[in-house]
Amino acid sequence: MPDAAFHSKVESVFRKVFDSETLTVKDETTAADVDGWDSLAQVNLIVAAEELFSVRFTTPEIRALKNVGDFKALIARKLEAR
Amino acid sequence: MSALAEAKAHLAAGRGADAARALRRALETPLGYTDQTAAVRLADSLSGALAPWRLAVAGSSTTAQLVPLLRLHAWRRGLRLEVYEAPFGLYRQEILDPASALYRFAPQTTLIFVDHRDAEPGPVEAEAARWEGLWRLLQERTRGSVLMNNFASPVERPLGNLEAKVPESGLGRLRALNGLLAARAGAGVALLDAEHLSSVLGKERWHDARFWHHSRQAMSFDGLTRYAAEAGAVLAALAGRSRKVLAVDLDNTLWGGVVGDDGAEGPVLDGAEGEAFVAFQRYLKALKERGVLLAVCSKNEPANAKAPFKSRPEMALALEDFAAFEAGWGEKAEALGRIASRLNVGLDAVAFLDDNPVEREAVRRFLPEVAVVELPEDPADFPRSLDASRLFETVSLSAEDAARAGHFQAESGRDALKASAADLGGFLKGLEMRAELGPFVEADLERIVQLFNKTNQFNLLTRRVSEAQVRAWLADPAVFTLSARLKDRFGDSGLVACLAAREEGSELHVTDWLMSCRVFGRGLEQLCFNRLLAEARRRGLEAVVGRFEPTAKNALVKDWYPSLGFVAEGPGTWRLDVASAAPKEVFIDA
Repeated sequence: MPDAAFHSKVESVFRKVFDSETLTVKDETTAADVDGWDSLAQVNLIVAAEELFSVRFTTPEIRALKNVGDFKALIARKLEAR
Repeated sequence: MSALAEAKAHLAAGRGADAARALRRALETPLGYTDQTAAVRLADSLSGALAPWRLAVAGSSTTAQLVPLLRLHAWRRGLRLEVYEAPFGLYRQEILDPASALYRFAPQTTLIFVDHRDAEPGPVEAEAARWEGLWRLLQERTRGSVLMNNFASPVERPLGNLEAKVPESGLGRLRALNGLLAARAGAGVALLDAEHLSSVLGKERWHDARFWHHSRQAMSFDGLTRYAAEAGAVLAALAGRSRKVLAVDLDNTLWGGVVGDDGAEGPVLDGAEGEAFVAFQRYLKALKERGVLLAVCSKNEPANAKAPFKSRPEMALALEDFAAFEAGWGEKAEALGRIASRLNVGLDAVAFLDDNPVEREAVRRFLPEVAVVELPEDPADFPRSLDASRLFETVSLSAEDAARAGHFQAESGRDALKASAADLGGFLKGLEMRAELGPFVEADLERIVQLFNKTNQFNLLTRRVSEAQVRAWLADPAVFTLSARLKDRFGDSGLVACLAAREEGSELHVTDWLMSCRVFGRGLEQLCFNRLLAEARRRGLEAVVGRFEPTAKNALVKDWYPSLGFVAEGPGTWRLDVASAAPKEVFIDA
């Protein structure tokens, strides 16, 4: 998948979870930058990404996520491993 | 566009009814957790006009994701939940402490959200007694109902298959405990069968240890959506909002093919496809036997529609299994209206089943109160789809439920008689009615509480009560209670009317007066009035005072008190002078 398409697919996860059609995220975006990105939203993001990409994260991976870039790298790794 | 996206677009454009219809359709298909969280936002915006229901959620694990899903699934059942969420993990403290915020909230239902990790070691009898103790405290202190899930056993079995045999093993203990909880959960305590639900989903999908370790989620998010859907159905049952009538189409719903085209011998009822239809008929028959009223709603010539029931031995359903039969060429929405009025239920008690998506959508549009079941393409999957709708969920079975289908058969006979009777008195005499009236007794409490909580039309005050509340009246000499059973030549209607009044000074105040609409207009209501008047005289009181509390459904009785000779005393309050009052004429032997 081209980078831009992959980025917008990941972005769609954020848009779904935060219920905003216009939300944009960058690789550096962290929880502090997005209104409502609390621990509850964190879980919802993980579940939404698992549903959308049909992947399964491990417990250490879930814990290690710090920003959108980490999240994208993790999903990409899961997709490559398939 | 998905139904969910459609709902969102409608809502954004301010078309609430269209949004609600699309959202209902979306919820008829399996929706993942993320889509359900989006659906929650829509339901929250659409729930304004619905009946409120106060729910306390007391959990041993994280409930933050559960509560919004509960609101969604309650919305689907016509309820607007007002939720109190106990602090994380403090379910026991909140239940034990009489001064807790949970009790200040005064819930109508308390959900105890627990999982297998909460079952403590030690003898299972003692463990079951501990849970029962919590239920009893909640019932006494909230006067409301309790909903708790049983325990979904985990995937792992250290003892392997031997766990099925050894009572002290993890699986052995949970199975025994689930059995004991079921035995101890009396009236007012509903069990959500998480053990069954987890098996249906698959325990490997239900249990997800990752999110337990991460943030104390008792189950996977797939499991959580199933749990919330199930809880919504049980809450609807507790609130008296389950469906009572199932109206079914015939062609390609009860049999394969079109009888009007193919003739009575045409419908496919054998071979693999035919067997699938017959199996579905058997499921419908089982619903009928547990008290759901079946009705036919078909676009057909009446004679054609009835022919296969008479000539085809493969049919599992007979004409007598249907309480109403509407076959014709008019709109189904109109036919459903006639079915509802014939069976004396509101449209919100009716569910509709049709293989034709156009008919389904028309009913959704013209009769939004009717629940419409989505049917899959394959008739082999019909029973599962209908079962998954959980439209007929019930929290207790009374003898009356089981006999109800029989009552309505008799009712159809009564209608025929009504048409032929020249005058009302003659008609009523011809019914040969016999009534039994008396104070509430312990043995009838379950039925009495059920009647209190689901009667909407003939109900002057629509006060919902718990069994404990009613039981307290039995010992209170100031309270007069009256229940009535009615029989006639067509059948036994069972216990169908209740009245309660309280002596206050020199007056008898009616606190509750309700009657099943099945028997309205036959004189039982006047007979109850006569007994009320006699009681006021026996106690040497001067007046009977009644109040009318209007709701969306009880317009039927808004002039009930003046029709009995009561005089308006204030807004919604009526007074009858005992000395000048006279009993009403009735045609019932009592």
